[in-house]
Amino acid sequence: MPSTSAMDRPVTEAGFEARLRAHAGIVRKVAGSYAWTSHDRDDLMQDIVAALWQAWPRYDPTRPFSTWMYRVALNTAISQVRGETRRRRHHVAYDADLHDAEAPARDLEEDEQLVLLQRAMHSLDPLNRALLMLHLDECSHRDIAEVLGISESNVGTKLNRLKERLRNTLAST
Amino acid sequence: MTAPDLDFDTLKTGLRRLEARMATQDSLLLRNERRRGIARIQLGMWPLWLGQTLQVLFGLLCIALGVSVWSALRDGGALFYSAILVHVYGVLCIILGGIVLGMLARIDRAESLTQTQFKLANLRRVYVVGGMAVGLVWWLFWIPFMATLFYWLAHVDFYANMGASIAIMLAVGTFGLLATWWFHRWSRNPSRPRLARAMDDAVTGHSLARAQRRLDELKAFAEE
Repeated sequence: MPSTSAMDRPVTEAGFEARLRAHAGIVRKVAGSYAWTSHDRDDLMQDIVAALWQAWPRYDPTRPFSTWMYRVALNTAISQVRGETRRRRHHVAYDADLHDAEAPARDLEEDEQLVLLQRAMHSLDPLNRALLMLHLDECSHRDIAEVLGISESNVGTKLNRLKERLRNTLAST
Repeated sequence: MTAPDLDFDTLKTGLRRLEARMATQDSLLLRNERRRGIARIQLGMWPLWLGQTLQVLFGLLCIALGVSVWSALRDGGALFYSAILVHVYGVLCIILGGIVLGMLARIDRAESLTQTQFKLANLRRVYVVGGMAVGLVWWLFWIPFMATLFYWLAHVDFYANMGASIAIMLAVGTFGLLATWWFHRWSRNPSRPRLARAMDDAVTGHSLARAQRRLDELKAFAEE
């Protein structure tokens, strides 16, 4: 009789892939908020997926998958930004003139939005960047609090300060 | 668009568009990439695991060496106390190595950001402080260590053979320890930024300062 783990493995992997496919946008948004070129984003996305797969056996199905995914993805991205994990390729530092140089220009408005987004993200430390990304992804204060590990009231306070800070930062550059 | 007109809906749209742009070119479901990614994550932690495991093994060897010598002497002499020091140093190596390995094993990326990042920053701090503790004592510790080792190897009394030189060795060790501390402080003086940067790259001072800064940032972020 084959072992239980050997029998469960394909089901587990299929379950993981189905959920990953359904929530792939989270991985892309996190990678887009912490890496500035398509190569760095690809590297980060692969690292996030590997970290998700590694953590998958400990996932509690009674908890929301998206919250779990945000936590693993953001922790992986922050560790990479802080140099706690190995980078595959040479990491490219943020440069407003070079950002997304490899991506074909589609329309001026879209490019301006992306430049503004990257300037905003780059001006923040990794934890506040996570806060902004979760807010821009329209997560509730409750979900943001759960991902970050702070209180809901603290989320509201921090968001107000963050908005003010961003307005000042982006106005001065 | 100018920054004073900044509207957060613009940033939201930017994030959605960036995600849509990335969706056309990603390969998130490639299994080979996933396996390579896990191997890379494990490889990234490997030096830390290996270093701490070797430290624990060295601690065990020190305990074995210390016990075998002090249990044979029990005379209250210098060699007996040297072996006790070697024993204590072995215990210290095991405790510090075990603490770091235990902290490393408890890191779970599925915990909240503040929990995980706090654990990582704390791990870095304990690792750096522990490394300094087990490393810097060698300015003086090599004397009892060599005395114990020589006795264990050939029943040679290191102190009797070295005579008055022991006092010079102790003085040199104490001077070295104090000089290391003084040089560390001197090199980090703001009036010598180039040297401070070079030292940052070369010694653990920067790692410790960075770990402490991250812990402070995390506390401020969680408590504000």
